Amino acid sequence: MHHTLPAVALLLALAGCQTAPSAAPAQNFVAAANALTQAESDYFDQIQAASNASHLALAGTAYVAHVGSFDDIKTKLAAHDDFSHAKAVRLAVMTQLQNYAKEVDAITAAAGGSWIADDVKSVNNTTKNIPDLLEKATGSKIPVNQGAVQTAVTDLGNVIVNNVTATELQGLAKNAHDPIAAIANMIAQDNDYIETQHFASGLGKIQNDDMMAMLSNAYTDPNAGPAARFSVFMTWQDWHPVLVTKGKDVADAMTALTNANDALAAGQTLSAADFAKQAFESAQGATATPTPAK
Amino acid sequence: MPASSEAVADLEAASDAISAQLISNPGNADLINAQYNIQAEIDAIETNLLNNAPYVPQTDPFKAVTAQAKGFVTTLTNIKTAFKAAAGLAGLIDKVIGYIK
Repeated sequence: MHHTLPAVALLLALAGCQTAPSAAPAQNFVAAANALTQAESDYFDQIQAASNASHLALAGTAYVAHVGSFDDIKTKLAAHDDFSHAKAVRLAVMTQLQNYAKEVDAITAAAGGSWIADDVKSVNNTTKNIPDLLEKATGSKIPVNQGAVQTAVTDLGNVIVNNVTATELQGLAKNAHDPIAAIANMIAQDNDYIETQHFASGLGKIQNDDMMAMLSNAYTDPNAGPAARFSVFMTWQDWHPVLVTKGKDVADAMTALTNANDALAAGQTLSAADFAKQAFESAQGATATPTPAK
Repeated sequence: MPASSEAVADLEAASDAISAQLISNPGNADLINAQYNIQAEIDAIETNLLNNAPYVPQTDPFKAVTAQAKGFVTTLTNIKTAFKAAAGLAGLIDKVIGYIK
């Protein structure tokens, strides 16, 4: 009995239509969310470090110039601005973004791989007593390989999972548009304050300016001889200002996140009409192929 | 441009001017103290802006979409369970077909 059951042919035909959604856009989204979180954290660490360095440069200028009492100098040396709250509130938003990204990752992990096939193998193992019973009853060996019906069911499962996953990821990406826009607005506002208004570059400039003031002070000090000036010069050679450079990384990661979400929202899914048409055409081909047994 | 931005821009211009004077007048106590005070004002404004930024979302903007995504993971699990059962039945059908052959 070699003819193929029509139902099996249809299932196989449906399976032939399956288009696995690419995991790349979702993976890109997760990667971009992680990159943005890291860049934002690094950015505020740099701001804190540069701010601390600028305070020290200011205090150093007063120290070298011997201006004010030592208590006053001590106060200047200890002064600093605390950006930990600014960092914490932004990283809280990043954590919320990552919570969402983890679910997107979980969806692609659950939809991908060979989970249906694995389950089918598991079922085969648990039902292997059936052919054993049939063999005992008939006295002939029954093949236990996965057959056409089981293959069709497995493939059909993949078809359904792939299509509902692609559709759901599209819907999620559209719903994530406004939350992502809120983050984009936050980063744009930060960029305006920190970069456009020269806060970040100002922190570097004040360090350089005050270092020059200290060098000038040492150079014009009538009590400083060549050896002292040489010592100051060598110290300056090894000195570098603490700069804020991660603004571009934050902007680039934000662009990558937006692009990844747009790619998810634009993901391809098969319309019901196209799906039915392809299934019908494939079923026609499948049912025409088998050779009837004589 | 917000008022704070204009204030910072003015203070930075003043700080730059003092920095230039400090190069030619190193050790000038008035200039050093003036620069320190101006920079302290700039830092206070910027720190306040970044710490109290009202444009940072105050509630989880992803709450709804995260819940939606979690729900879909459950849906996928249910589909998996359904196909596990269907595959079991299909396997039996295959074995019966094999027996009939």
